Amino acid sequence: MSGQALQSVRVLDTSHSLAGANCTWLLAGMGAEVILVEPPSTGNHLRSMGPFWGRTPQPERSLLALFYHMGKKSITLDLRTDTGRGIFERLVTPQTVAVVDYPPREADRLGLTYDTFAARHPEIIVTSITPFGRSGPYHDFTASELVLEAMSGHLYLTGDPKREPLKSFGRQALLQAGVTAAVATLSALFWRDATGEGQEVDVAAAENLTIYTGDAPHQWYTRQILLRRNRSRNNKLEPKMGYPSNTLPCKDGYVHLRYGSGGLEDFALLTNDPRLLDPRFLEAPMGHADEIDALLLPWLQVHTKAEICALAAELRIPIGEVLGPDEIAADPQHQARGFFVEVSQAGGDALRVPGLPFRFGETPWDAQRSPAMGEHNSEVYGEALGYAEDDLARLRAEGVI
Amino acid sequence: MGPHPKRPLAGIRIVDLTVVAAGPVATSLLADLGAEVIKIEPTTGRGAPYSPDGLLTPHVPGTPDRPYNRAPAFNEFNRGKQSVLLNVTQPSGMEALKRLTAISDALVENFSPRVMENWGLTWPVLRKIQPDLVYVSLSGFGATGLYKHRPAFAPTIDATSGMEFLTGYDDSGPIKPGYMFSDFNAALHGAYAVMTALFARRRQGKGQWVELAMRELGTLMTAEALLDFLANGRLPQRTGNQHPWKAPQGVYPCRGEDQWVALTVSTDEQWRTLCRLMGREHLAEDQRFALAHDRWRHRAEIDPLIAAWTRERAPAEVMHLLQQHGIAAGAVLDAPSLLADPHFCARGVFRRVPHPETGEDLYRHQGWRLSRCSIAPEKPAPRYGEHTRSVIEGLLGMDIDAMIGQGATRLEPP
Repeated sequence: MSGQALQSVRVLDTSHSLAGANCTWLLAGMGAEVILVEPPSTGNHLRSMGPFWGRTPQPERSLLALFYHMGKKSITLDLRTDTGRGIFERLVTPQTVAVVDYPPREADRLGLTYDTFAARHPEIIVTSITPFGRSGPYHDFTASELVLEAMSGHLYLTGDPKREPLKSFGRQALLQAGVTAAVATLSALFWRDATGEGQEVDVAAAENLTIYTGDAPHQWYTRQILLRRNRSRNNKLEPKMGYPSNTLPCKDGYVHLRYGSGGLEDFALLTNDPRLLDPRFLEAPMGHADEIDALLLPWLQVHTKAEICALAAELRIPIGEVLGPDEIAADPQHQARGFFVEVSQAGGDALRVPGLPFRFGETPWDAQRSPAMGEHNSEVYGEALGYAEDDLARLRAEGVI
Repeated sequence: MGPHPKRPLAGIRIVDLTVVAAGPVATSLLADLGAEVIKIEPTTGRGAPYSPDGLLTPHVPGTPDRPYNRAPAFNEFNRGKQSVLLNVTQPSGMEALKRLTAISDALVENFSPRVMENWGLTWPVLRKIQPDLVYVSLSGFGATGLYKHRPAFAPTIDATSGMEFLTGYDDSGPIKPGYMFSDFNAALHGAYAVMTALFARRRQGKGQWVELAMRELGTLMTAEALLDFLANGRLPQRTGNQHPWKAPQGVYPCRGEDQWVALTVSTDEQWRTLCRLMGREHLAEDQRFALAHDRWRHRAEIDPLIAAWTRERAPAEVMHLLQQHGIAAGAVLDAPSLLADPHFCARGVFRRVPHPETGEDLYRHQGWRLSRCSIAPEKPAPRYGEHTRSVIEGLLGMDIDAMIGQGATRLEPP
């Protein structure tokens, strides 16, 4: 088979947050032509965010931009000007998807909504990514990553039960909204294939993250049982739930031990400790979590992560070593599977990135470097739209591109 | 273009061999989008109420019969699907699975790789059965490499992906992020993979095998820290609820038991507004706190001042007051407040769908809306084996009585 899965799709990416960037990263990797539309004065927001390669804050060295803009084209265009808006409309083709993550009021003001395009381009898909969606009482609320995690219910389920709820690492609400936005965009592409119709796709980041509360709402709804944060233990506290399900210290770090189909008996076998087969424990494992931990700890403290996981793999017990970025970078399984790829940058340096999320047998994932700001101005404006060099110089002088 | 469809994936048939959470959540998304998802379940049962997968938690009190049809999480993760019981270790059971695959568009599974290998259902075999099949595998560690046989559950993937190492308070060890983070992360990526491959098939006419590992997809979510290590050799600290440069940001106690509000102040002007709203105008004049980097440096002094104010108020009260002034603030919602939240209610996030045995199930809408069509979950989860007869007889034209005699299927639960 020739080519890539999404090669016929054109994406105009007006996003500035990690949510939009992750959405179009997924689309670009599968072969969509993603044109990142950057504000000429500041560049895409990711370019000003750390961490920076070599730790020097330069727009071309932002690691987030170098990663999440991989495989995209970059043009500069000021969408706040009428000229800029006019040029943007000329880039819209019947295959176009526009990705927008401005807050609803801002998107309306900039005319980056389906309704604005519909008269001339009814087949366009406008994927909007906002904190709370384009409707409902909170649609104009402002949010941070922490606020999104709070209002989705995810935050309440993370952290120590005796302390304040805890944010997960990084920007998970935004990243997950980005993944969902890619799925959502595909759903609109299927609809367009079947009907010829474009539409508005309304992705809501907080709402999306409610999925991550699992059956916590259901437990309340059906039985008035409140699931709370429980450090690394299972959030379900009922005494009869399986155990262990906890992260405990070992000789050289931490491991997460999780009961499988063999239950507690697996761990008696692993640690060669028949005390774990106490009938009280077997009857109500979670109810005796502290006692079970106390029996496991001495054994764990004289074994390394590697030893524990090798034994666990042999016995088919689900134990996971808690790994940091340094260990992940050197991980033999990631190496065996080619999960990390070296991507040559414009300057000739190679950046190693986690660059192979999916293995498609026929339409492979493609890991191309991230563009410099405005790198594709002449290609997109010149070759595709037919602007002469003079026009571009004028637009540049006016600050439009 | 054919007749106007009702949902985006109308006309797509998916064989669903998925188990536990990550796989079923992915295929329930496809069911919401209108795909015909046929879930194959073992003839040995769905498991006891306290089964190891933790999904079949105690059912609704006062309804003792058939608990396997009433587990809230199972039903949420399998809504809109059909359920067919097959014992594929019997030749006619395997034959039924192969015949179903031959007339389907995609097959999705999230076993450890040895399961499909043991059944002889490798990609070369599946491709012979259905040349343009989309086959998606979503195992814990991938179908290749030395860890391929390691069993996986969400929390062990949280650990091995790097997510848990990076999550924690500044003075704590690593802490598991959320409840079943790695399952849902894998589910969304899995759904994206299935749909992308189906899209490619529609455009280019061929199926393919798509292979994913839950753990790689989890590691992807740590890219920010991982890139800093790969490029700069820097290892991050756990930083709790801190923002890397904005302050104040945090989760502050409110009136009542275990009630909290989260807030982030992004600008100097927002800080002055917050001081005024707290009735502490003098803080706005305090030079230690005037500029963002100073506030960040003195954040430990600011946090108690905010906590003293929030402690007298309900989370929603603080949220609405600060939001009226453009400051990012949100109540930390627990399950009851999620279900009662006016915004989520107005958007129809949590939906009550009639179910023949529970009376009513709670299903969550996907994280997006389409303006042209509904993708809301409307059909309940199937009862165990509910569609065995209609699929085996009606769709596959096989002799169900013979199959029952061979132990390859059943109509009544064990």
